Amino acid sequence: MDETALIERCRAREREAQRELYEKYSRRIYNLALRMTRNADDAFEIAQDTFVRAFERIDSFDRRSQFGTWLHRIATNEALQLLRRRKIRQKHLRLIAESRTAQTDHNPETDYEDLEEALARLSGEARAILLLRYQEGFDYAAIGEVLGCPPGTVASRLSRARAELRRNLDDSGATAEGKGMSKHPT
Amino acid sequence: MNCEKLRAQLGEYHDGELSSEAVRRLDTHLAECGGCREALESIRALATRVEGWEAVAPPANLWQAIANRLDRRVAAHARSGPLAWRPLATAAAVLLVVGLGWLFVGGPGTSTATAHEFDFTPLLNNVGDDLGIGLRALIERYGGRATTLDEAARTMRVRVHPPEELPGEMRLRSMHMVNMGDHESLTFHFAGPRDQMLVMQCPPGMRKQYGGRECLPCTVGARPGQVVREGPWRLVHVESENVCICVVSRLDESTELAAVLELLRIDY
Repeated sequence: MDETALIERCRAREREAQRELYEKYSRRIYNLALRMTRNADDAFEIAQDTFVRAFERIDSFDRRSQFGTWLHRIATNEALQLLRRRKIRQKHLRLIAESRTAQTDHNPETDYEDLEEALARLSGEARAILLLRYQEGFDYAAIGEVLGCPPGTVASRLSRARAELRRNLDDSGATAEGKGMSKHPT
Repeated sequence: MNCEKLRAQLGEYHDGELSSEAVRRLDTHLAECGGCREALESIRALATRVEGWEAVAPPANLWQAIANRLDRRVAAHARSGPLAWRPLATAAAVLLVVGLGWLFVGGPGTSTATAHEFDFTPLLNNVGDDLGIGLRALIERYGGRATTLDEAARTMRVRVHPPEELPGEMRLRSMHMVNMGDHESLTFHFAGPRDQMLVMQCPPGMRKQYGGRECLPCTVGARPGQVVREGPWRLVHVESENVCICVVSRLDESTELAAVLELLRIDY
């Protein structure tokens, strides 16, 4: 069944149609959430919230958009919100820890060694834009729709995100490619 | 040929986002410039690496968890009746986009908002350096009282969970119920050492007065809104069919405000 017909059936709250759309997109949404958060529980929660919200507000889905883009927009917002809440939580935990002791533990910024860890050092927004482009294969217009910015802004943000990721990989010495990449700020 | 200028386009070139003319120009340059070819190869390697990241299957119980939640919502809908559900569902759409919102107190069958005009002049005239003073002026004009998250949770349909801290080290300083026509509205006053923010909700479609100040269209995240300026302060409205979110802050409405609002967690 084509997607438009499935969406119409979802508007009528047909569970089987919801299930079919879930089957079509769940792998992508779950993996986006997992890459964004690096935490399986958080990814589970984000994927769950994304589909529940999408099916509940399907009446507000604008048919001029692609359903997949709209779904990614919800998932990305959910993930970014979670990351921001987590950042605030971590900031508090860090302040508490610093106030209790001056000891210096390992520096998490220096002991990563692979792509996942290099990505994790990026801001949530930078991580999202790289994943949307190179994992999800979205063009700049679709990324702009997901992130709420014009394609020109996508191009500049993507360029900064690539440069930052490359620096992180280069710093870590994780790959020979990484070392070569740092020479070319694009 | 200017390598630096062309290199800035290599990402778009790689991603297939350039016009055919720009592509031809870069093709010509790349044929002659080893440095730019190397830079392009670097982008290609990075993209390939992210593209090649193997996806994992979602947990087997994910669909069941979603279906269970949808069932619970349907059951809650049936219990609360259609009149109570409709504004909640509409507000949900607002919350997802704006990240913040709440509804009026009332049970099934509650009537639609009938407030027609709200005057922000007392707030804007008194805002000075402290939003709290402007808020007090507004409360004096319209009547209101201090409330707590617990009380709001008991009396309002929507649960608001302000984070312990917002950017700028802003924390929730006070909450009030303010009379707005035949509705009560919650106001949240956040304050930190350097910044403050006031968030409140109005009935939609209500005329607003600003004491002669100009109200201009703006964008909050990706949503259209309106902004009124008073010194460094910006009073921003984002309105949907059923609710209007009003925020007074020094945050830039197009670049900063949406992200901060998203931190205010809502259950609905």
